[in-house]
Amino acid sequence: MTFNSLLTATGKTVKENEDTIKDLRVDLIIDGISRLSREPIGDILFDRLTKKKDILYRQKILKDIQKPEFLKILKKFSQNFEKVKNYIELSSKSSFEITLKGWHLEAALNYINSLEEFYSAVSNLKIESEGFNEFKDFLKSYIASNEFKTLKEEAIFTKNQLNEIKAIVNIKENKIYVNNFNNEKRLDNDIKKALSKLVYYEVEKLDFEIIESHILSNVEEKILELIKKLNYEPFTALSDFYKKHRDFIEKTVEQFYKEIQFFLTFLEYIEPIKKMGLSFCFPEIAEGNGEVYFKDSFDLALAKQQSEKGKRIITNDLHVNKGEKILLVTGPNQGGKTTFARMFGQLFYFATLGLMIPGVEAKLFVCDHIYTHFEKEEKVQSKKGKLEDELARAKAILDKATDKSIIVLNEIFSATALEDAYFLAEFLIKKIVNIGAIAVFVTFMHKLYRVDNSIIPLTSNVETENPAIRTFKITRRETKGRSFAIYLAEKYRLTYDCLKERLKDES
Amino acid sequence: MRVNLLYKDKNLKKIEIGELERNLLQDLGLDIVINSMSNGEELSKEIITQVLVQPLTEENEIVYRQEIVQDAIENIDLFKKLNKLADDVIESKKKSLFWMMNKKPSGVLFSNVRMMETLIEYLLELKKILENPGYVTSEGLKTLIENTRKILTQDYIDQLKQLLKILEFKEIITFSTKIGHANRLSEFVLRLKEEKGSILKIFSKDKGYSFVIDERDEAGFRALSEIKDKVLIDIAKLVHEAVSSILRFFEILKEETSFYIAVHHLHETIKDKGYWSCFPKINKFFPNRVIKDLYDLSLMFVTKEKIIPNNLQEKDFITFIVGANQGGKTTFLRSLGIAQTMFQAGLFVPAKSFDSHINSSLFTHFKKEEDVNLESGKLDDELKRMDEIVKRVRPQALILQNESFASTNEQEGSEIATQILTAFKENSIETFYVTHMYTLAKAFIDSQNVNYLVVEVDDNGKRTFKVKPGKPQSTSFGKDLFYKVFDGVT
Repeated sequence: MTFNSLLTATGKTVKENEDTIKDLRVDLIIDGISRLSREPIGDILFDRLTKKKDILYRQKILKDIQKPEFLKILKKFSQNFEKVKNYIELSSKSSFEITLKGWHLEAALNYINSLEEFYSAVSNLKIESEGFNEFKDFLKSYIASNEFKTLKEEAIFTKNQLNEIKAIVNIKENKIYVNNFNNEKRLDNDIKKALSKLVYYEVEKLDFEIIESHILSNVEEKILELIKKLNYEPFTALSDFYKKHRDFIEKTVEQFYKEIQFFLTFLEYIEPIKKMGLSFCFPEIAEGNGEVYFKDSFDLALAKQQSEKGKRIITNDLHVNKGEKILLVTGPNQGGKTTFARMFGQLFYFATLGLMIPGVEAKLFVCDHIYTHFEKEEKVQSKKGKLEDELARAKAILDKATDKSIIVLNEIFSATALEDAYFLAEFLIKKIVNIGAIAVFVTFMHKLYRVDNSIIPLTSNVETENPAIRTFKITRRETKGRSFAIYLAEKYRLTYDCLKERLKDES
Repeated sequence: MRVNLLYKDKNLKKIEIGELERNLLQDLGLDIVINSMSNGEELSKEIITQVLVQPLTEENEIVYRQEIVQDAIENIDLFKKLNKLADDVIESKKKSLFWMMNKKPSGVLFSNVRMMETLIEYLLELKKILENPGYVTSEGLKTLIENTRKILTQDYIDQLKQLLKILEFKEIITFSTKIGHANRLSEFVLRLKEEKGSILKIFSKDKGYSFVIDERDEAGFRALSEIKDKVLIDIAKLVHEAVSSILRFFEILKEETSFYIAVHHLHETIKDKGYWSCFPKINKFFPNRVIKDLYDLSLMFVTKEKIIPNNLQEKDFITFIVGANQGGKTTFLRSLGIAQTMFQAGLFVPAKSFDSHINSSLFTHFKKEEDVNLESGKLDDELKRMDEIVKRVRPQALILQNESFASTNEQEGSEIATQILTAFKENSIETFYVTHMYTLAKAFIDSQNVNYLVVEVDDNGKRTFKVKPGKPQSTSFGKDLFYKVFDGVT
């Protein structure tokens, strides 16, 4: 069994058009994830999977990674390997020979260590996914290979030789003497012992900011040259090692490192959101369009933005039964309608990247495309021009959509005369119902629910009790009245019941 | 060597004086007391404030401080001498302009060695003062004297001086080094400087090498001093830490002696004004207070009239103070708050005898007169302040409330207060509550562990400014009349 890839079993993918990516704010999310990544992974995030098999392949990988123990191991490996790459770069940039070979040796030592550490950590770990198991097998034979063994022996031998060097340096005005160490008496311990009798107070410790440039000064270089003269053998070993093992990184290992970044970065991206108390789940994936549901889901872009301010956003649930097609979202403005529509599209997008999606549980299907139709604000046009553009975009969607498509329509026809708008919307809805696609329709035309019985009417509500929270549920709610003073006391959690709880906690 | 004149085993923490602390100081009039004690000195003022807002909660802590207060009353000269010495040290630090100007290890080391030489002289002076301290009975002072004698021996001073001499590096420095990460020089260890001749001997004997930096090679000299700095980092840190620690000792000595000088001053002021004070006794039961002739210390500074003292006996979680306006309810509440605060600061208290339990902390919740906001805003503010108190309150705390929740109507105010007081009582939190809300006072009339104090009005309707045990009286005449007419019906 050879290792192919963690990303896909078949390699079939599809891209969405620019409008969809922008309208759903997927661009913001991808940008945010990419910025966290050690390796460029943007491409992977634009390629949606079209086969259930591939989605499950990635889900399994991610499920493995989700195990805290394995995640820790992978993160550690990833950090170590990044260091290796970093050291190699430093080596290639060095102009001083001793340093150039020094960084190269450190890179090799870290490489060896990171692989061995990784392998020993995973060797007894139960891993479910095909992808990881293949890599594990590969690693086992690689570590046992002569190539790796020689690399390791020689790196350690060289490092040990260098470690044993100890020199004494004496600076007298502008003269520097260098010689091998000869047991000169150390001065610091006596000073420490005497002074410690006076240190009875915690004082601010000095921290000298020594900016350590990777470029050595001419003086340090000269001292090193002299130490090299005094220590022929270790430095010969260093040169030999460099010559023999210039490019020591195995290609498969490097590929593996790059591919796990995709998963690790995604997890890193959602971590602060989870800290806010929001959940992510692996959606159940159906082949075809049927029942769809999600629970406690949310707009990922908005959740990310709010989590940076330490805020958590409100979640939404919905169960779309078989036969229901159109989610008609109406209600007051600023009530979270557009956010809901974006979330719906995002759920399908990220589910078909094989990733986890916002929510505690969900069932979705493999969609062929996600189409969006959002009001375009940037272009100032005549009413006629605007309607024409809207209709053209709508037609383009209807021409391409199938019963496996997702369509998100946001405030379409809002600038059109009401009578026309109803007429056009009705037409649009009937057409979509005919095609069999699933659509979210955000609109002010609340009477549209009468058009077809596959429509689910949904309503946004402005949050009244706590206006500080600016993201809202798509659900009805009631408010209850009570005396102002007691309401205020309750707000500060100072009623008897509240205090009983609080004082219990705090005593 | 530590000062430890405020606590046996720690320094006074400087906490942030937040809203709760500011309220406590203002509501009780403690800021007036502090001003007088400190004689206008900012440092004293800060220290006294900090001491007062951080009440001691352990018996041994209180006793430890009471003993030192007694020494200060008997032997203020010693405190003044120590304070003066500490002040001299701080002044000399300010004068040594070059100390810590240089941010590099070699520079820091050089200036700290100089500073250390100065400090040794001051330590010797400290030793001299403490060799003849005069009247001392407290554990705190005795420990300080003993430790000074033990640490600052002649041998040790000599050894220090000798080390400082070695550390005066001029142009010669010797160190060992190893080949570290990515072949950088690392693990610098300072080694003993050899006599001039012998260095050359060592380095010419075997195959040592050397090189010379050209006089015009500026980068070379810079690099050289960078290497020296790296070698000296640890030593520079060490000497700096020792110097800072000694300076800290004198800073704390100044702060803590300033406190006792202020306490002594207060004691004198009380005597001069013809009032009295006593050292409190600690009562181990909770709640339990027996106080005689307690008076409002802050009032002493602002009134020329004779202050009427009060007695208090209390074993209850809630004490309501009710009765006529301008009758001394707030003054009484304040006198208790000030005395309890002083008690838990280890001080004497303004009373003839004072026997009290220790509270875990002390809060005030006073109606704010100056608040001219809308009514709803006021209640909001009152609740907010109470919320802050609840966040910090623990069982056995003391909360002094003065007309709390009077900013809304009596019905709602009483409702809120009743709920809060009930929860406090159930959680062993002690409350003194000055109120004119009969509905509130009446709500607890049948409860256990609730005490009522009423301001006394004599037969002529004149206020005597005494508070006495009693029962709340309704101010609504209609009901009075009803009960009068229908007496015996209920």
